[in-house]
Amino acid sequence: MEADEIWSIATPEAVSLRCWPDGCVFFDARESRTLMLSCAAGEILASLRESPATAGELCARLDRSGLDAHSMSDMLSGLAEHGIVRPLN
Amino acid sequence: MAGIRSDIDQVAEGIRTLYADFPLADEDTFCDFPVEVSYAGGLRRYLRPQVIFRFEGMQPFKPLPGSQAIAMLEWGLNWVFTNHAQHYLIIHAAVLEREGAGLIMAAPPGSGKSTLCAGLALRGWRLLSDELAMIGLEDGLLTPLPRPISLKNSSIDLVTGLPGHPVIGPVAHDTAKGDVAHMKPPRDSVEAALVRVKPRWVLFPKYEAGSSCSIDRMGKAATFMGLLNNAFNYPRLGQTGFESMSRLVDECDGYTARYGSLDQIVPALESLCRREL
Repeated sequence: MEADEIWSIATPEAVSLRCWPDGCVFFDARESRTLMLSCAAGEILASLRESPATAGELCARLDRSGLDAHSMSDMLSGLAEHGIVRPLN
Repeated sequence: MAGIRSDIDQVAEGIRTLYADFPLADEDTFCDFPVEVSYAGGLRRYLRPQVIFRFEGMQPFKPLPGSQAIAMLEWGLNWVFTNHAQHYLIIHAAVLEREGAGLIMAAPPGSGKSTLCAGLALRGWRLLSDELAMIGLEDGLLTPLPRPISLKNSSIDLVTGLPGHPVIGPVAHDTAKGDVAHMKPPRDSVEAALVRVKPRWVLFPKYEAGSSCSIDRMGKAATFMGLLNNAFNYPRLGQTGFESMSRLVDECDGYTARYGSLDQIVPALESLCRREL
């Protein structure tokens, strides 16, 4: 993964997200798929729904999440493996 | 409204016993769900009779032994409502009401859900349904469907012995689920069948012989996923299903319960619900 890679939700028009204190529920209408994610993953997706961002920008936006750039990159890779996010460039 | 056609004595007896408090429509009334339980034709009818269930020309199940006719009617009606009431989010759950607040007990078969449902109904909780939580997509309210409560195997004797004068219908022996019988819904519940209810609690009960009783709070995301695992038509509803489920979870407190007897769980549950009302 490149440090300046810009990330986006894979299908933003099809995605719904609800977050509660014990986790977030992600729904992809295109694939009729519902997943429970961690709160941190939910915060990342909520932020990416606002606008695409690099891992560093996400760290800055989600300052309170406690994720460093390395952890953020790992989270994004994990979400990408599930087809939830994708790099734009 | 369901219209039931049958030429089987056991079905007539079962309806007379289990649906005694339901209003009867006259023959000219439009019927939403016309179903039929009848003997299969041919020589089998005399040698080893089998029964078949039909709905609008469809025969969704294989024939069953004649002695299982009333159970087949109940299973068939469950199938009809589950597959043809798509203006609801439908969850496999028992639903009861106390003081205007709805309790949804969602669980897979074998969890003791129906036995607990019968125990609560016999203690004055209003029965909305033993099998199907029907949540309106527009308003999120629970629509009652107070049909008989399905009991299996040792639960039949257990519920028969409970206070509250339970009325039990014919027993179907050796079904795919073992022995099956149904408890007549309380008259008050039938008479209030048009009164919808706001959901307040979601409970995932689990009976385990010899277990002590514990009721634990669940987070809302976990409650969502637990309900999802018991939902019949959530995938079919798409985005609407997600939004409906989210609203339900927002409105309810979620719990898991583990227990070894009705004597443990019923007072514990009543105490919890009283505290939160």
